[in-house]
Amino acid sequence: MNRFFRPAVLAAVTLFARPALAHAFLTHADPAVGSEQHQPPSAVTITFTEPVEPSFSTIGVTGPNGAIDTGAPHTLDDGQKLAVTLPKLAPGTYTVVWHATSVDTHKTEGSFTFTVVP
Amino acid sequence: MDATTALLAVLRGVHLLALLLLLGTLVTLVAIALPAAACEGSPLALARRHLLTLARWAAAAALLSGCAWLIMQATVIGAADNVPQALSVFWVVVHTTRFGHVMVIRLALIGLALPLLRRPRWCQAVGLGLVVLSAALQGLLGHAGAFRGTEGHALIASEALHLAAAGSWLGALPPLVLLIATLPPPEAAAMCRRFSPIGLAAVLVLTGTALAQATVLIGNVPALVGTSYGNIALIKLGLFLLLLGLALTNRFALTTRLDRNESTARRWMLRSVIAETGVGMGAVLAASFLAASVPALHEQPTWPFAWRPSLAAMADPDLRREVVNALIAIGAAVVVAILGLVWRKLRWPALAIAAVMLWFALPHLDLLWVTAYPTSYYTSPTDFAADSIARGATLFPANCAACHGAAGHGDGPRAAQLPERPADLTAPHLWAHADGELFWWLTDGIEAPEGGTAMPGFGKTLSADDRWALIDYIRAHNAGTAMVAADAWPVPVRAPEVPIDCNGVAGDDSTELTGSVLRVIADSSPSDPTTVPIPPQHGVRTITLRLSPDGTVRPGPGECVAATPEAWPAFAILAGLDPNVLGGTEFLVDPRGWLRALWRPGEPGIARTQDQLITEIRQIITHPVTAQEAGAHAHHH
Repeated sequence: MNRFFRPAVLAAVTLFARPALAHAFLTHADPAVGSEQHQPPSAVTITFTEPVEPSFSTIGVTGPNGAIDTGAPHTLDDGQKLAVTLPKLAPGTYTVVWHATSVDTHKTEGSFTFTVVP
Repeated sequence: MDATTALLAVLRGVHLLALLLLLGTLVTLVAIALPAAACEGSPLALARRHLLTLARWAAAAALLSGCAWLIMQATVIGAADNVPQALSVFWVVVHTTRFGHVMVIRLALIGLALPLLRRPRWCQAVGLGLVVLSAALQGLLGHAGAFRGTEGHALIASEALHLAAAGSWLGALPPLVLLIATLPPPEAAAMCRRFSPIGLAAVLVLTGTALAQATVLIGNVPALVGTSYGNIALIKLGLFLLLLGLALTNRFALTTRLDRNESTARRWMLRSVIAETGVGMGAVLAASFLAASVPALHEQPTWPFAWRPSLAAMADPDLRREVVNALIAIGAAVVVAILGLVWRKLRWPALAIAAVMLWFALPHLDLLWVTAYPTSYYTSPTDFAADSIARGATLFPANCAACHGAAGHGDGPRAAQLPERPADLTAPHLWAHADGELFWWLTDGIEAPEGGTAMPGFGKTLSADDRWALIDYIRAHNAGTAMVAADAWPVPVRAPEVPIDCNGVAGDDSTELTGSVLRVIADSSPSDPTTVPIPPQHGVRTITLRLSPDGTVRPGPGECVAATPEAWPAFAILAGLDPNVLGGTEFLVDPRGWLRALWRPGEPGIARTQDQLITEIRQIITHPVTAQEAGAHAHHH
């Protein structure tokens, strides 16, 4: 396996994590789904296909040493993006679990990982 | 659909029914059972009093069912398990969510209309206005409200019209029953006739708005027949046609009989309008279940038939002639049949001749049908992403190469033992198959015509995403192989989607750069890349997207870089090059995202001047890929 394909295999495990039946789908995440980050990200921002309700949507981040305290999520871009701020992350693999309630009241959930490399 | 979702759909449906009844009763009071003809003590005056009572009950039912729906929906949104939790969640939903706000406004409008349900007609008219407004909010409570931009506004407006029309027609049916039951038949017939233009307008509005909604939320025939959302929509369409049939019977057969004061006319009219009411209630419930289901556009349609229409045969001159001749024969048969119907003397011989012509012509149209699979209309969820192509490349050697060969020519070590020679995946024929077809073969395998397995299925050993990744890789590899052999891609090929990192350009993803020409440069030594910026041509920008082997290069001003190392191998596959020699290669991507040009290092063309590059870019902008050229690969959107 050469160096180009190594992250692909990592992504293979997590990349297409999609909810089974739902309406607000993840279209884009920052840090990107399955990505390797050379700089620890300061926030997790998820873009959905539809605006979501911040009061009933959550983003949970778990790292090598357990859950990260992110505080309550806030929305950007008219509710289409949901974000939480992160403390400075140590190197390691982080799992993001999100639950979204779309403005049409339908619920969705999903998860992905990203890695902070030293 | 689970029990909670079904209960919510029923609550939504009951609330809608009450609201539509209120709206229809007020329409009847304001526009049909006019007070001018109702002198005190007349049957019409009595009927109007009953209608007012009906309106009050409908308003009360709409308020109660609306509250029940709001409470239940809030409990579900907040995932409350007990009453105190439900109460606290309820306030949060009312205060902070779109659903909560819209429902409170709707209930307030109905509450305001309630005291207006009194004798003076202007009161009733104002009440009607408030109720129409409250019904018009429906779009914000469903899928339409979750769409953004112009499309979202159009859907919300179309749903508002849809509700107002449904209320004016279906909601006015129970009041019509009341009028038919209590008024003398000729007067009842007059009411029915006055209802006609309103009903007709409502039918037109319902049809138009339903088409608009279906276009956005369902989109095409496979989604209509192949998803649960589409199937509920089909049921609703069936109920609508039944409603239309009943309405036409009432208007053109029964109203006349009622007018003539025939003895059984009133009974039949009552039965028919009550049946129409029942079917209408079914349609409203179907609408509520639609609102509770995942719109078809989010789902892969499961094609339920073993055949599907295809124009592939029309590409072959002989087959095309056969189809055209059959169509001409069918047209002639129809003409003969019509002549027979008109010319009484020759009716039976003409019909017999037409039948014989059809008997011989119709089987030739079988050419327009090809074998279909449940996944025939699946679309790839990968967006032809660089990550997916690269992943397919890692999966191909272990899963496919034994039979198809390491280079995909169908000449693997095991090929000789197979009943059928494995497909040459580098042949142009690959592009004749849609993604959904390839996906079915990868999942379920292919049977040899004389029995046995021509290709095993990978549905149990590879995940769906892996199978899609293989399809992306096979297409990219096919294109790259053709590029090496013929110096051109065999069909228009999409540029892979890559996450990007830009400096002074907005976008997280290469698909967000559509509308601009992309100049993709593979830089093997990106320490100090310098590219002379290209001025806009025909008003179209050219943006440089830089690839690096490890995905770590930084974007220069006005440039983007691929934020994934997978972009490098993906573009290498599309160029038909080993990743180790991709450095120095350049691609041009047109404003619609098609790969259009390639320069490999060491080729004479690579030493082109800025002017030659600009000429090429202008050529790409002025000669876009046509839909016909895009063909089978067009669904990679």
